[in-house]
Amino acid sequence: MTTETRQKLILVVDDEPDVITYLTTLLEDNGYATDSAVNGTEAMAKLRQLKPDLITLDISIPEKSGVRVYREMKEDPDLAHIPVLVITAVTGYGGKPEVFEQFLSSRKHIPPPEGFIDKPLEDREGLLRKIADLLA
Amino acid sequence: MNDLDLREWIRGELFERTPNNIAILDREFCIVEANHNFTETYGEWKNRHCYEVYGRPDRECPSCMARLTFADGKGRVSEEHRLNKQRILSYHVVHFEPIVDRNGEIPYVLEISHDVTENRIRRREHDVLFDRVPCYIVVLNRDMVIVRNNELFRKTFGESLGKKCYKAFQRRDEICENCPAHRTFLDGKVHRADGTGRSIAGKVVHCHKTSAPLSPGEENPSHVMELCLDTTDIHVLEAQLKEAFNLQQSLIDSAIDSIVAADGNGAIRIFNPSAENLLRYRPKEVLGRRMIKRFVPTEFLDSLVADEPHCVLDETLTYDRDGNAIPVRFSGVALKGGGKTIGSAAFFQDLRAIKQLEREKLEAERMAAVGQTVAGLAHGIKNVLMGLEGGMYVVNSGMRKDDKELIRKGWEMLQGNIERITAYVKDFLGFAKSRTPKVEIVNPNDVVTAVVELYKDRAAQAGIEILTEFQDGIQPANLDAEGMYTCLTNLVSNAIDACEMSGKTGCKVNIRTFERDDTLVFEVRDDGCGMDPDVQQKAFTTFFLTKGLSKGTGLGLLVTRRITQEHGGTVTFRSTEGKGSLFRIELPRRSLPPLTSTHPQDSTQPRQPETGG
Repeated sequence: MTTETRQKLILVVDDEPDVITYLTTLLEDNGYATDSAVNGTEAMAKLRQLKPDLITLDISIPEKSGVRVYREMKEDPDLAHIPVLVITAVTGYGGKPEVFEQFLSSRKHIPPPEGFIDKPLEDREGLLRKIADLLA
Repeated sequence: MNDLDLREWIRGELFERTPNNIAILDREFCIVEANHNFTETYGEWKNRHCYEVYGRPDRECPSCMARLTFADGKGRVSEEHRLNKQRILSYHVVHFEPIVDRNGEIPYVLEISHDVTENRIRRREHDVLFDRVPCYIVVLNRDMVIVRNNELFRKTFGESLGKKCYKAFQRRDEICENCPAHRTFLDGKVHRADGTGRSIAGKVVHCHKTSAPLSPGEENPSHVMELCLDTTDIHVLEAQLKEAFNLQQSLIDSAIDSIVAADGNGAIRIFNPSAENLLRYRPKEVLGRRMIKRFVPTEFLDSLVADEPHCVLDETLTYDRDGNAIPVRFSGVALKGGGKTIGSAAFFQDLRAIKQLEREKLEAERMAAVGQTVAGLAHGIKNVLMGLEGGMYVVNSGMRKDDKELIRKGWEMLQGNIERITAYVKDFLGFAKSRTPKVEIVNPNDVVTAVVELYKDRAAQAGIEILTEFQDGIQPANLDAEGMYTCLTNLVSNAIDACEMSGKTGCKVNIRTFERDDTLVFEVRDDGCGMDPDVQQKAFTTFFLTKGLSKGTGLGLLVTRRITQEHGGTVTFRSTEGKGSLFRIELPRRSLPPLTSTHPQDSTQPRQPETGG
């Protein structure tokens, strides 16, 4: 961590306080700045206000689901470039993340999310590598 | 009396004694002499013209026979109508005879008449009767030729005088078999037979024929009268009746419902194939026997006694030959005739297949609920695992950095998630287990009272008031008391949570029981935080947590729904975000489960249904 380079800011969106604590601790330990949101409305507000470098997004969150947050982001020219890592325990669609990924991007030529990670995190180092790649 | 005396008697007495009216007219048509009978019949005649006496005061009759006899000296007979003494028109047969003197002149005409009015009337009556009677009448001679036919016969079969009767009546060329007229000609007796004819319009006419000799007592009658009563309408009615009967019979025979009908004595008269199939009796074993009570529910017998027109039971039991109870929908009617009960009819709809389907549906729903729960549980468990993993990481991270606060945080995460997974497993095991509900006759209000007792203190501590509202006279019902207790516990617990989460003060939870349209209703209303549309949508369908880590597992409403379904009922809710929620369990009485029997059921003894109406 050099003082010249600004710390990258990651927004953690999840309604489970435990997940927020876990991910923010993990990310801060690896040199990132973090902020968090516990529902879709708060997530959209913080996205616009903070313009984070990346977000981790849970799908089953109150007020505005992760799916809606994702679509709204990708349709907003100011936010569309921000990489999104979906981190979810949603097990629909036969438990296949690819199918869910397709669903997320099924409308209006929305691209699939930059990353899709199942809860619990089976490969913590892999997640960190993925984030580093996306922020490079 | 000698010849002389006789001649004197004839001269002196015959004129007066003869039963005819006698008058003598001169050439001026004045009556110069008349006998006693004449005076009796026409009244005073002295010095009057005959036509005056007969009711024509001014002039002689237009076709006067006396004038003709005066002219040609020939005797005549004619039928005349004249007014008699009472000025009533009457009919007379009149003989006119000239009285010739020595010179061959005719100074007088003798008029001898007798009254035939009576005969005329009889004759007219006969003619009217003959033509107007609603029968076809013909008179036949021994050649079977029609010598008279009445108006109705002519209208229907055409003028037939001189025709053979079989030609006129049946358009055939030889005598009909079984011809009653023919037999009458042979033995002079009255004969009857049914037959058909063909009208001039080509229609078949059914007749009941009676033939009689025209002169009774004649052994070989010269003429026979045949009277034919038209029975075509009766035949049509008979055919229609038969058709209606056949239709009814085939409806009864092919009905899916079992139909059993009895006469006023309770003897079975109708037992259709479906009844045979349902009740396992052969028709010959029950028809005519007083067995109706064996099949119908006592409610129906009571309704007959109470003179109610019908009795419908949505679900009751009947018993087959072997005494097996069969669930049926029953409908019975009293059969009335002339204001009196002449019998009863019972209709049974076999509910066994429906019951089986209901059981299968319930099981399928339960399996679906389990499936949903497993999916939801997987989601929940993944979150718990994530929490455990996170807790471990945070503890490790805290230890690395010697950050006591971080270690404490991580440890709390571990503790919380361990508690949570314990609760999951416990609840899920309880949910997935196919518990056999114990159904007893339960007072619904007792269940509510027990639930209130459980939550009273907790609610009071939170400043929440629990109110109950019991409808008067609510009847006990077949309920799994423990199951209903679980349902209401879940709903009341949710309501209290909603009150606490609303942050409002003085919240109330209101529990009501009442009965509406034969349906038992439990209502739990709170004025707490309510649910947003998102949460409402997911309330039953997914494993959904709104209350954070420490509260419940999200299985409560699923369990409530399952138990309600097992009672044949539904659970529904209305909710307004920020204002509160209303949950309602509705249990139609007719769908409630049967009592759980505590000992093996004695299947041969018919028993009363446990629930009335």
